[in-house]
Amino acid sequence: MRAALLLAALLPLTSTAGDVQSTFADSPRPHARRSLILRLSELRDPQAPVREVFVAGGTSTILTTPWGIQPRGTGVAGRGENPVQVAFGPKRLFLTPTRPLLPGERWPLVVRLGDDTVVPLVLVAAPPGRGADGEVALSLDDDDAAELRLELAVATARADGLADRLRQALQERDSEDFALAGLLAGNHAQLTALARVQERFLASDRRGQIKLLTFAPTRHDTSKAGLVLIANNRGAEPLELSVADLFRRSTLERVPRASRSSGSIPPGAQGRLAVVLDGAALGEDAGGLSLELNVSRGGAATELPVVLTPDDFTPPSRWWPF
Amino acid sequence: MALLRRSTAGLALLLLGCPGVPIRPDGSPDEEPCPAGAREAMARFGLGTRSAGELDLDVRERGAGALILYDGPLESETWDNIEDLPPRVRLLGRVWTGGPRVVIRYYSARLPDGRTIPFCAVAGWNGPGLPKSPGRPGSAAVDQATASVYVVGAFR
Repeated sequence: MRAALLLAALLPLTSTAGDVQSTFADSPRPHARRSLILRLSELRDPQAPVREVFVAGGTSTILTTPWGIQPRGTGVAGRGENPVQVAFGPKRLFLTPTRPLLPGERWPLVVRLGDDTVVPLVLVAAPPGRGADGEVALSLDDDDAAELRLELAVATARADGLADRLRQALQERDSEDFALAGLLAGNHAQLTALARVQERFLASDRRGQIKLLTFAPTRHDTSKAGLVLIANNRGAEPLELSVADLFRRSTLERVPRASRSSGSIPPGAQGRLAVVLDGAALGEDAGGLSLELNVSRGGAATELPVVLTPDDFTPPSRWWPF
Repeated sequence: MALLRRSTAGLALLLLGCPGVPIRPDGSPDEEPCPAGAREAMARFGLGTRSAGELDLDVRERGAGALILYDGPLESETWDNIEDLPPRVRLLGRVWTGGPRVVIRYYSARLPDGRTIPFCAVAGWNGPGLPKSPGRPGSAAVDQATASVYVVGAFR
């Protein structure tokens, strides 16, 4: 528990370890997801109302059972368009709406268990202020043990995830490249051996701008290169930039990188995302590198690809004073 | 007659930009040193020749899109911090549109707390100066109403 509290205190590090477009999109941010236990004794009661399962567009709700699920006889009922994708796993069902459900929209779900028990459920949009169901467990037990087992399973999974994030955070803390990225993200290039080289707009519209700056070393004893993405958020919702991937374009091989950001950018403000990489990686691939960025606004994310070539990091002879 | 010539030259300099800065044959301003005390004042904020930031070129016309600049005084505003210089600092300078690129030199900065300090920086895009589209004499159009600002050790 102490380790979990320590992890929670360390985690607000806004860090990640890995052609002009308008990339801003709008949709509401989803709320926290809940876990739900449905007891089979209730579900078998013909007098009991059909239980509702809250789902959200683009988010998977996982339904687990003590037995297997028969694909034949399991599915979402209804004619015409079926907005819910159903995927089968061992003793579980993955329900993923391809779009947000409208208020009042109801999609009956029939689950046929391995023992031929038929479980009727109905999929609905989560009401305002509530989140979609993350896990829905069909339980044999009529006591609290099932609920405790589910809570333990969820807590164990979270603890494993937190442990991984703690290891990552400690590794980043001791890394020079992450420290350098932190300085660039805070616009403290004066404290580094890097200087701004070139700049170009990646996106520019009424809701803001995203500009790419490249940094080259001012000394010959370092091969580090840097880039900073500056976002000017003129929209009405917070904006977030993050690095999804960085890889060589011809081989698709991942390139090690260190990145730091200034965090979520509120409306009317500016923010930065800095990436530090080994400059030698730029010259090793004639096709250059591809930087995949995630741009999210209001919970909806858009991918923004950026091609980087050695020319982007070449100091211009016109004015380079170093 | 000599007095008339001096007055005319002075008036031309006044119209072209900062009085006393000679103009090169290509229309850009000649070299001049930083204002007295600028380097020390900037150093207190950690600013040096590797320092740069982003700004809105004209505080009266912000946003995306092209901008018309005119020879003469200009007030710009920085976006966020530059080293230890806080965000939203007003930079006061002058514009020269006659050369190959628009030259904007900043001679002072007004801090959010109201203090004004000497400053030595230039606006630019991929280096000092802004690419321009020709306009009427004394003006030029630039592609964006935002630009970078580079701290310099002298105006060149």
